[in-house]
Amino acid sequence: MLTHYLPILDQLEPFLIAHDGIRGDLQLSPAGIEIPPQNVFHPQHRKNGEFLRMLALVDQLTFGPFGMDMPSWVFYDCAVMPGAVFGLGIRAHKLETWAREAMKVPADYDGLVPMSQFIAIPILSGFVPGRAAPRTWMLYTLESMNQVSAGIAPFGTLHLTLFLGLHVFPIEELWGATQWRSPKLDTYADLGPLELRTAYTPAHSLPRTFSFRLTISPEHLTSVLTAPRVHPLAPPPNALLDVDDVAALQALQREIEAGLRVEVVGRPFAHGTHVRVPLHRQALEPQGASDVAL
Amino acid sequence: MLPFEIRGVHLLDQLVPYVVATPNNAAHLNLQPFGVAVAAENVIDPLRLDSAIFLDLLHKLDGLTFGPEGMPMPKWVFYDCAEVPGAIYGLARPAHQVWPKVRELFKIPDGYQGLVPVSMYVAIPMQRQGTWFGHNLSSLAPVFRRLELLDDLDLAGLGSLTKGLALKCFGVQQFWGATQWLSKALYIHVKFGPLELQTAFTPAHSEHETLTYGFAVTDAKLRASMGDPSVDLWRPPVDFWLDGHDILAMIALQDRLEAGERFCIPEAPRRSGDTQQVPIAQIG
Repeated sequence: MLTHYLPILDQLEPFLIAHDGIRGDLQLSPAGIEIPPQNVFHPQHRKNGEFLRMLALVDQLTFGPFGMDMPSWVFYDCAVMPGAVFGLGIRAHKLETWAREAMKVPADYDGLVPMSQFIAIPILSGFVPGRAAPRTWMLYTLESMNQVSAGIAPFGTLHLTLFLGLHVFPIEELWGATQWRSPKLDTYADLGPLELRTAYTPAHSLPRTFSFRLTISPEHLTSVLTAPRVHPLAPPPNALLDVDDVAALQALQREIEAGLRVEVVGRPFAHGTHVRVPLHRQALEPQGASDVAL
Repeated sequence: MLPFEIRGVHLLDQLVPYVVATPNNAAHLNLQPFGVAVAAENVIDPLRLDSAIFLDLLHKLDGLTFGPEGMPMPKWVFYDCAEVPGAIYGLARPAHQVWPKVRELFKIPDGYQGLVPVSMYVAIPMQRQGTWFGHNLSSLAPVFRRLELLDDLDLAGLGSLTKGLALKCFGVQQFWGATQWLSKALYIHVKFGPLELQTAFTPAHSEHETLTYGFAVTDAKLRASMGDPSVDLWRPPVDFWLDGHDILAMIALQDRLEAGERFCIPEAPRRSGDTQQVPIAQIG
């Protein structure tokens, strides 16, 4: 399954940033790909400061244009202390000169330079009896330098990072929040049908954000890499959402709050300036209905 | 009413508690910390449209508290890092009872009938049940003092009361947090007892002169933090003092922590001109 992505690992190496408390819960050989011990960084050790600075730059370059770059204090408090960071990086000497300059790599640095990162943090409701680590996690960040500098890293780096990141963390249920017009919606749609928890989110800096929930299964992990035209677990679409129509997003949000179950069941598509996202709308069964059916 | 004596008990007569949490997370919270009940209508669901004004007011509270120090929290951070994964606990005043100057300060929309937050505590769950990372304590008390808003309103103790009730509400058993060596908040933090140091110099943080601290949470520590005079916490003797401006001393201490030595901040710092002397005790 990994075959057509494996050449990425000729250039890039997996890395992990995790403190001692969480490291034991993480898979250090995701999908059989070993994270080299020298690429497992402790976020609180001084010697890792340069690598962490470059990781902050990746975030600044990819999320800055959205007004959502992550200050380092947020990275520390909200990401690397509650959760951990998985990513792919390249040895500094393998970078071309222009790329070294773009990443502000110091002249005497020959360590790893991050090209992508996947961050997940625990969600309170994920703690269940009989299990030490939480089963529910928030996909806090997924980003690749290719988003802003196509070609600086191998094609497919983002997908492979997501695929391996989902193997690193013990995630059974994944939550996430992203913008309706984000190109990454393609990647998330490849994961499988995304159950919408919000369709319009005024609590977020960008209200045209949606929140989703997904139970992770082997089919979901596989489909990130195979990118099927129709996801095997997705029901057929029965509605199209105009993601630039705020009134439509708000109306959908009210329906979700009223109990309507809505899933994103495919990648967005565009005709001219019109962007549509395929949805499956399914009203929840009235309480007790399943008992009656049984 | 709390079942023990505290300094700011009058605050619970003037303010009501609230919680921001998704329904799934709210089911994991203690909504009657120390018997102080959070009314069902004051459990705010961040996934709903009708929560928008209250959540905007929380954002303003954060801006009023941290704006002057340059670390206000973007709204997406509230959502992604707190409201969805964790919870927010705080004290508020119903809009129809809110003081006119506060109404003006918050620019409360006409017709708004909900709560107006005057304090909040934000924490994020870590990898084990009961282990949390404290992220943000906001209180209008210093804002009132700075802007001389209400001379006759005593908000002293609001921050400590909010944090103590919040940790009980969240079910925190092991707490971790980060703050700066020169922060006045250290005076609040040490009310919970000695603070074990995890870092003394933190390049991963915007402010490298940040320390990471933690403590095992007990009811006695929470009561002490809120000002219960009947609780007396054990504190180890001070071995040396660290100047809040002395970066080389922080780095030296960090190196010793990374080498496996253990230290704590046993008691409150001392102000000394424009700096702060922080006591350090070696514990292993």
